[in-house]
Amino acid sequence: MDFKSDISDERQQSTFRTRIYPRLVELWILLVIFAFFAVRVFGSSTWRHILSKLLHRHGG
Amino acid sequence: MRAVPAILANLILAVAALGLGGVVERFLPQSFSRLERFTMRLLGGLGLIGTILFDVGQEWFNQRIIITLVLIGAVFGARFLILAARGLRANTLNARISLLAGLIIACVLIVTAVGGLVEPSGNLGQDSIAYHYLGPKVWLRDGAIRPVPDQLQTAFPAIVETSYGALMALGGQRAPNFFAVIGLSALLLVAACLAMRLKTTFWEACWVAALIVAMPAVYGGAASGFIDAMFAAFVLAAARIGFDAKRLRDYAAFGMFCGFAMGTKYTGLIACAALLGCLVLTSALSPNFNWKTLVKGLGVAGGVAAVVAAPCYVRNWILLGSPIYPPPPGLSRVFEVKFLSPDAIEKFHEYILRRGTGMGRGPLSLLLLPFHLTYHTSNFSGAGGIGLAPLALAPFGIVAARRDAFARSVTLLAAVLTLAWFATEQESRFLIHVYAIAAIFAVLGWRYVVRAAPKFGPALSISVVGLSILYGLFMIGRMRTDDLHTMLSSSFAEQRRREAVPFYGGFDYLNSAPSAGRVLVLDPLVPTYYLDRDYVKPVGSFDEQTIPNATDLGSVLSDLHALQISYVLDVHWDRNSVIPDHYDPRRVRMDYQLPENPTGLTLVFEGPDDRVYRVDQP
Repeated sequence: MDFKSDISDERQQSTFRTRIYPRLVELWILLVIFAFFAVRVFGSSTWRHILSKLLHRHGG
Repeated sequence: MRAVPAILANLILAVAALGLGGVVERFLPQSFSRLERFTMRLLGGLGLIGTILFDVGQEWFNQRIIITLVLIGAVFGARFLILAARGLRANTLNARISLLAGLIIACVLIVTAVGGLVEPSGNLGQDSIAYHYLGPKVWLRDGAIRPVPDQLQTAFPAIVETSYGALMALGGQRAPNFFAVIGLSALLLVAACLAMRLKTTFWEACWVAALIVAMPAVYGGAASGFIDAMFAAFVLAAARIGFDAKRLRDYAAFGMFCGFAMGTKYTGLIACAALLGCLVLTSALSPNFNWKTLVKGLGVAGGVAAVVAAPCYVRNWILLGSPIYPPPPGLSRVFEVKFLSPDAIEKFHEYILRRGTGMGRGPLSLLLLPFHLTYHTSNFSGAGGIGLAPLALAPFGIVAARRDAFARSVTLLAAVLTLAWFATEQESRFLIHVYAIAAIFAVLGWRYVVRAAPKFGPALSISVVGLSILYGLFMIGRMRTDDLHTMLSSSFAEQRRREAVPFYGGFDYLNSAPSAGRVLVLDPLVPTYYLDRDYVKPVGSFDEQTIPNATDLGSVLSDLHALQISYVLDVHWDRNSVIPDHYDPRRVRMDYQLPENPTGLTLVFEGPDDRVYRVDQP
C-alpha cells in the first residue's frame, strides 16, 4: 500500500512540476504586468488627462 | 567651457580615489576578481578621501589641503591605471558583454553627465540647495568644517559632502552635480560584483546594472547632489566583503566600509547593526563555525568602523551637545543641544514621522509593501519607482538561490534592512541598497523562469525587463529634460536661472559688491547657498535659533554693529509657493520683513521681490 501511495505521490508531484507550476509562474508574471498597466499606465493622471481630452473632443 | 573644470575635477577625484583606494585593496581577500578589486578600490578611495578631508577639515579645509591630498592620490591612481591597462592588453577579455544592457547604462550615464553640468538651482525644498551643497560651500569659505547653525542637516555625517567641497574647490559650483556619474557608476559596479558572487554570468551582471540604472527611485538618489547611491554602494560593498570574511584582514576591510556608511548617513548606524547581526547569524549557522574567529573578527571590524566614523559623531557631541544632531526621540531627553529648543526637536521628529509614513506601518502594509513599492512609489517620495522586475522575478531568484549560503545571507540582510526602513522612515531613496539586491535576484529569477516555464517564461521575462527599463528610462528622461535643455540653450539657461534661483538680483548685487562683509538674512526660507558672502540668519527653517538673545526683529536690528553686519537682505515674496514640506508657518516667531524706510539702513538695491540695505556707520 505504502509503495503504491509513494508512486501516486511522485506522479502528483511530477504533474505539479511539469504542468501546474510553470503555469503558476507565468500567471504571476502576467498579473504583475497587468497590474502595471492598470495602475501605472491607465491609472495615471497623464492617461486620464488624454482620455478626458479625447472624450471632450468626441462629445464636442 | 564652464563645464570643463567640473568634468576635470571629477576625473581627478576618481583617479585619486583609485590611488588612495590601494590602501583598501591590501585588505581584500586574494579570491577577489579584478573587477571586484577595481570597484572596492574606487569606492574605498572615495570613502578615504571624504574621511581624511573631514578629519583634517575640522581645523583646515581649504584649496591647498584638498589639492595636496588629491594630487598624492592621483599620482598613485595614474600609476594603477597604467598598470591595469597593460594587464588588460595582456589578458584578452573573455567575458560576454550584453551590448543592449551596455547601451542602456551608457545612455543613462551620458544623460546624467550632460544634465549634471548645469548650475545648481532651486529653493530650500531641494536638499542639495538646503544642505548638501550649502555645507561644503560655507566650509570652504570659513576654512573649517563646522555645522552651519541655521541649517541643522549640515551637522549630518558628511563623507560625501566633504568630497563635494573638494570638487567645488577644484572645479567650481557645477562639479558636485557631475559627481552623480561617479556615484551611480560605483553603485552599478558594486551591484555587478555582488551579482557575480551570487553566480550570475558577466552578461547577466550587465542586466543587473541596466535594471538598477533604469530605476527612477535609484536614479533620484544619485542625481542632483543626493548621497543615497553612494551610501547604498558602501553598504553593498560591506556585505560583499563581510559575508565571505575569513581572515582578520577581511573583517578590517568589512569594518572600513561599515565606517564609510556610518560616516555618510545616520541610517548607516542601522545598516551596520543589520550587517553585523546578519553576519553573526549566518556564521553561527555555517558548518565551519568558529566563534573565536568570529568574535575576533567582529572586534576588528567594529574597531575599524568606529575609527572611520567616530570623528563626525564626536565632533557633534563636542560642538552641538549630541553625537546625533538633532537627537533622535530616545536621546532628545538625555542630550541638551545647541541652537534647537525641545519644541523644535519635537517638531523635527513629527516631520520625519510624517514624511516617512509611506502607506502605513501596520502588518497589512508590511505584507503589501512589495506591491506598494512597485505601483505606488510616489507615496514613498520615490516617483517613478523601481520597475516590475523585482516583484515579478526576484521571488523566483530567491527560490533558485536558496541553497547558496551567500545568497541566504544577502536575502536575510535585505529583509532586515527593509524591516528597519519600514519601522523608521519610509522614504524610497533610503532603500536603494535593497533595490539593488532585488535587481540581482530578479536576474537570477529571469534565468530560473526561463527553465521552469519554458513555453511562455522567456517571453514574459523579457517583457517584464523591457517594460521596467523602458518605463524607467521614460521617467528619467522626463526628470532631466529641463537640465538637458539648459545645457543646449543659453537663453533657456538664463530664463531658468531667473525662475529657479530666488532673489538672483539681490544675490548678484551682494556677491559682486566689493565692500560686502557679513550679510544679515532675515527670512528663514531664503536659500543662502547662492550667497558667496559670510552671513547671519537669526532663525533657520527648522526653527534653529542661531542668535540666543535675538527673539524679535527689533533685537536683531539693534545688534547689527555687534554682529558686524554690513548689509541686510530683505525679501518680500509669496512664501506659500516656496515653503518646503518640513516648514510650519504657524511657528513664525518674528516678523521677517523690514518696515518701509528702516532707520540706520540705506537702500542700495531693489529687485521685484528683494531689497538690499547697507548698514549705516554709527
